[in-house]
Amino acid sequence: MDSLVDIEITPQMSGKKNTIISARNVDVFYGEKQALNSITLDIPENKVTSLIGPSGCGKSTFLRSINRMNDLVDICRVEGEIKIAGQDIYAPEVDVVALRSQVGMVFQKPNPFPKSIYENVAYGPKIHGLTSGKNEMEEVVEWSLHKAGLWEEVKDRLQETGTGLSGGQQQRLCIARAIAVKPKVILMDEPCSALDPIATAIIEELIDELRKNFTIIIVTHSMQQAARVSQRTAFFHMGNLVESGATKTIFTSPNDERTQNYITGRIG
Amino acid sequence: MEHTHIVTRFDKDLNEIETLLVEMADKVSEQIKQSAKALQNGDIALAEMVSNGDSAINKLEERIDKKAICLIALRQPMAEDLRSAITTLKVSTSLERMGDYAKTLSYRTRELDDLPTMKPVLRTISEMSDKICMMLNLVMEGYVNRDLKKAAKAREADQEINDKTDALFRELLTYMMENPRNIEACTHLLFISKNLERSGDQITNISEQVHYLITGELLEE
Amino acid sequence: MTNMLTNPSRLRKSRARIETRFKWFGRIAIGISLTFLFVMVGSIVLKGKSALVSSDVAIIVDLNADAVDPNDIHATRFDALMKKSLREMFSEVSSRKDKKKLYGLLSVDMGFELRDQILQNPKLLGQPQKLWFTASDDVDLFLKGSVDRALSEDNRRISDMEISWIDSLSEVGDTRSHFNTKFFTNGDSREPELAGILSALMGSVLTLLVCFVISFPIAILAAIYLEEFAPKNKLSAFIEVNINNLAAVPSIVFGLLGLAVLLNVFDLPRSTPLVGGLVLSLMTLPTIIIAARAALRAVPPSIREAALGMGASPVQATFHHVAPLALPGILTGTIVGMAQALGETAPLLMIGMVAFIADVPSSIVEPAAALPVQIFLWADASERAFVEKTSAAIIVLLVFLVVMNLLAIYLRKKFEKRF
Repeated sequence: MDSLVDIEITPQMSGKKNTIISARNVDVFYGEKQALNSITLDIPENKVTSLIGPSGCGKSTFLRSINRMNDLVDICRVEGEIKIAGQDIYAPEVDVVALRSQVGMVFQKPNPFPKSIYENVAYGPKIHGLTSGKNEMEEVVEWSLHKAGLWEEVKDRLQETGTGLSGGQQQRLCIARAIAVKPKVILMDEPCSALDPIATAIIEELIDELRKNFTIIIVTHSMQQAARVSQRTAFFHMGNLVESGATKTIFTSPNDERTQNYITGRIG
Repeated sequence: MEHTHIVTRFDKDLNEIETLLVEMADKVSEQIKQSAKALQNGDIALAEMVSNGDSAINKLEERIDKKAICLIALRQPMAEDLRSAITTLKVSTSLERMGDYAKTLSYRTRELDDLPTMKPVLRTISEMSDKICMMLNLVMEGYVNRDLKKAAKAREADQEINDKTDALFRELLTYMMENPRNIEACTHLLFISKNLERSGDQITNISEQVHYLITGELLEE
Repeated sequence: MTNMLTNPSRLRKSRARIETRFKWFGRIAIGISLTFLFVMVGSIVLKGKSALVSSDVAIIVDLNADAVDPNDIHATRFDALMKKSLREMFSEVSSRKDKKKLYGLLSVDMGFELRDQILQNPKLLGQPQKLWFTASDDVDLFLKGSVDRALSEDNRRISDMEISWIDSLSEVGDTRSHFNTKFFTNGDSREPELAGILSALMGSVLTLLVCFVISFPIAILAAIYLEEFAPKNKLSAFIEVNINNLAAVPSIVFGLLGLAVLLNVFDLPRSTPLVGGLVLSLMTLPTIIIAARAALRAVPPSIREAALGMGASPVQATFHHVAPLALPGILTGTIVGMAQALGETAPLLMIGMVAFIADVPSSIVEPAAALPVQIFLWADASERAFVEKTSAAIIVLLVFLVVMNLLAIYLRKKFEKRF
């Protein structure tokens, strides 16, 4: 059985960006309605790519196609090709469960399990059999919480429930939970929309740190956040990918007039 | 500023721009010194060097402006951070202009090569250049350390420059009235002293920007 | 400005009136409900509390070696010995009819009681002893004050002669009342004074146990499958409608089903907790399924998404995360279903749990009675003493229900997790 867990990604030392996810002519339908038209996009490795666009433009749909969360919706149909590290993730022999251990997800509303902080982080490694023995698990949990910038705040109360933390801490716990299985890609669907500015800033700093080890794709309806946090930006509009490029360029002199109108807040 | 931004890259970006601006000011200061020296000694080769050195300053201005615009677009700076970005843009313009004045000075130095020299005038001009360099350093220190006093002091020194320019104007007039053959040289020297006066005005502008950066209030002319 | 914030007074007054009227409607409704509750429970408690008291009578029994051979106690004819003792105490009684009445002062089991007392304490042998025996049901009622002396003899269950015997015994302190432990340790009996609730209680407990063991796992798994895994199509909608309808089917229909299928086709032993439990489980299955589905639906989809996003399989997501969160609701639904099953009489009547069972059942394939059935039987019985027993049994049933509901509340609080 082909499984993405076994893929080795060789980083290129030349510093040139290496594409880790490539989407070619991706169409997504909800029943009769087409939500995405022929999306072709490359996501570079170890960088933050943001997907922006007005409500209903399909950015979340595209994000969820990458870890096949759209499979949960009965009427959803995905056509076209999405390859992660050269492997077509919609091929019939692909194990969705293995895919989701390589492509983690953080959701809009922080949703830690109502278990202890320790168990939240340990859950992923446990079900994927990534650790052998209690000591190794404890190391993984500590590493994940460190990486998520939460260790200092919770190291003395690992047995307390995850839901007792503040909103920002809960979201960082969800991030720790996602990175505990050492995925290649982390998908974030509006991760800060439920948080206050300080918690948001803490997570943006965290994202900047995380991109050293992970590829991050973030959907955000705040283009200011996209500007602050990402190196590549893709602008979606009514199911189409209008423009994608370096964030610096998109936000100072975009090519397409639609992009310009959206960014400047002009109703087009 | 003891408090750093939660997003550390923001601080990095701000510091980068500040560093570049100081670098540009240093280069401009050096240009002014060298152009004055070239004029004093009649050193054509040095004047040539100063002339060529101006493109580096222009490139720096371009780089700084690009960075400042990116900072504004991507980081949405507020309050002091915003004032810092705006200050950067305006100060770089002032510095670039000062660089241009140094360049024209060196151009006129070449023109003055075979013309009669008036030593006292040259001496005055040299003093004025030194003063300007000193003022520039002072105002940049005020910028870097967010020091209102230093910035204000730089502004005060401008009066001296203006007085010296007036004095020089009268002196050059007498030279011209004395001997019509002096007119060409004196005209060049007149333009040079005018440029130095404008340099002093630019420093006043910079100092006003620094005041705005620190306090948020725009000074009345 | 003030005009914006103040309404004209007539609007404000009519609004206030409506508010007050509604509040009063609410209070009156609550008041009526509480009144009904207190009246019902109060009347039962009043009628039943006397069942907790049982009366004894002291009789002098000559236990010398002639009457009871210490080496062969079991050979003794205890009944005859008791009758002899009674005759000796009331030597003036002569006619057969009167002697019958005399023997009727004590409970029918008097011989067994004598034997048990001797076996417990063989030291009593060798001399006359004054021993306590359970009074018969009518004497018991009389001693508790339920018989009106003022009525004429024809209208009373107890004759004047019997009253005089009892009074003479009472005067010398040979009658006493004490807590009726027999009520809780004996099975059913034809004699009210000996009748106890234990066999019915055990029957109910065993029946509920069978019902729980069968219905709980099936219902939970069915609910989880229907809610989490089954494709949402016409078939599953059809199943859902049918489950809801099943919950509304009259319980006697299940009894008939049990009779026809379980007893006639499968030939299972009738009147047993096994069959009773099976029938009741058919009844409670829809209740638990509906409650479980509601509890599962109440789990926010974000938890499922989080689990699936981590790479958990649908089964892992359901059993590691969704089901534990739905547990409080499922437990509540289960206990409510069990409490309903506890009180069901009709289906049990159909499958034969209406027989007279005196022994306490110890396994699920022994014939048993159930609490509601016992209440039904006692309510029907002719002896007056059974009236208080019926009410007492109802109290026991209510207490059982209250305990189950408290258990539901406790378990719910224990497993409730904030999410």
